[in-house]
Amino acid sequence: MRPFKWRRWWLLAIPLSMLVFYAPLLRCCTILAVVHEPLPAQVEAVLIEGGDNRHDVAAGWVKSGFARTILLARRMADRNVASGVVPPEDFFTREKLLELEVPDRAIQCLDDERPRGQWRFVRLLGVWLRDHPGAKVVVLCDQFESRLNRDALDRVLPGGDAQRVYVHGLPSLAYDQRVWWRSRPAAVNLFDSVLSLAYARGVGEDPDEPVTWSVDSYEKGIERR
Amino acid sequence: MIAQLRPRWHRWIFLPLLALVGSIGCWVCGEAILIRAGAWLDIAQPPVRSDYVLVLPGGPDTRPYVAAALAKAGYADEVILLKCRVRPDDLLSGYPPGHEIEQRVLLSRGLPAARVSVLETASESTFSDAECLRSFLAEQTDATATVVTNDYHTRRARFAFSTVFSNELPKLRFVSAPTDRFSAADWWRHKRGILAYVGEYLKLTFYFFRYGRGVVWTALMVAVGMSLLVLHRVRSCSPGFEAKVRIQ
Repeated sequence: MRPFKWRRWWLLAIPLSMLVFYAPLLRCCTILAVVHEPLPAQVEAVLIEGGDNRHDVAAGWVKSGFARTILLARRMADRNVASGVVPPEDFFTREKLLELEVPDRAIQCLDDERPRGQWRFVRLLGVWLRDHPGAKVVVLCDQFESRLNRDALDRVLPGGDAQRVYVHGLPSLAYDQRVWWRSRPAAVNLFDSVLSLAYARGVGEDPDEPVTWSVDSYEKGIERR
Repeated sequence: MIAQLRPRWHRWIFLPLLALVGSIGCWVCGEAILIRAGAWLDIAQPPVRSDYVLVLPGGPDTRPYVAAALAKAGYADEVILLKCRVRPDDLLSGYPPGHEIEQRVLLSRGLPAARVSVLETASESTFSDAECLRSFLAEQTDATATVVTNDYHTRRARFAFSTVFSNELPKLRFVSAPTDRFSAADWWRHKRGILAYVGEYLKLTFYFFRYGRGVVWTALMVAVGMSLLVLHRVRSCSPGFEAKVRIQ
């Protein structure tokens, strides 16, 4: 009689169990990108970083008295903003919030020439937190970017300031995050978030220089051909 | 019996040695390999005169600038933009849609509005971009077009367009727009570069299976592998083979 070979059966059992339990296994992958933080009873401000339906959520919080101020961190100007083709993104956000009947005095834009890099919004928030000791802030972002943002806050802000900031991930309107593998944009977003987190943990902050080539030089080069 | 005759210790030397040689090879030639991998995705051609320039959606701060430069230099009469499928959040955010920003860029670069056309489509992927252009050019049999996209995206774009256009592909040319922040020579040094290039390879693999002959090739390779395995088993079970091993 031939001896029973356990190793071969393991080789069969592992892919078979992965096939049977693929849904909970894939759902577990979101743990890599998502954090759930309980919010306090009241905060001083809410910073809009991203996420679907962010304007409605922030406006609702200000109207209900949960938050007093909405903070908008201005991004570094890309080519279109720098050349005046489109206004900065916070311009549209402010317009949308005013449309949702948020008072203009409750909206504050954070901007500075100095902070650069991918975590610019964290540095701008850091300045605001120094000016408002004891104030608590909620950062609104995409659910798949919540762990990445928590990571950035813990790295950039001093310990005490980082603990005053709560990250709140907003679910997407385009897909269901719990079954992300059924939607191509969801899979791409999760992949980007996990890779970004790995980059942040391994390398640190991305310098993120938005404009590195000149359109005028390119046009001259084309004309010379 | 035959397995007992084979020296097992060779695995413990051979595998680490292979890993060591591989690591040294990657360390020495890693950068060259990464540059080659990045450059492989760019199959851009030098621009020639065509009837239209199509700006593929997705890079509003680079692609329309290149399209404007081509049109202004006389490489095309008209620039075509595609409307994309609107995401629910795009409607709520108030931010202008991609084609509108691209249109503003073209006008800001001095292109007259009469030379810019927006196709009423609901494009959501490079493949559907190709289908949109195909239906636009359906009635213009002799019309040619230049497709403008970012350098790392040109290979997948040509793959999608060749699937849709098949033998009419020579009507198209692919011109690449340089990307801000990174290029094929240093993409692995930037987070966005890693996301773009690694993502592009994954998307290319997906396209190969979804729209190309990936399934056929994989099935063929599995069949060949299985055949070799069976052949090896048959040979190793034959008495002549056992005798040869014993002599060795």
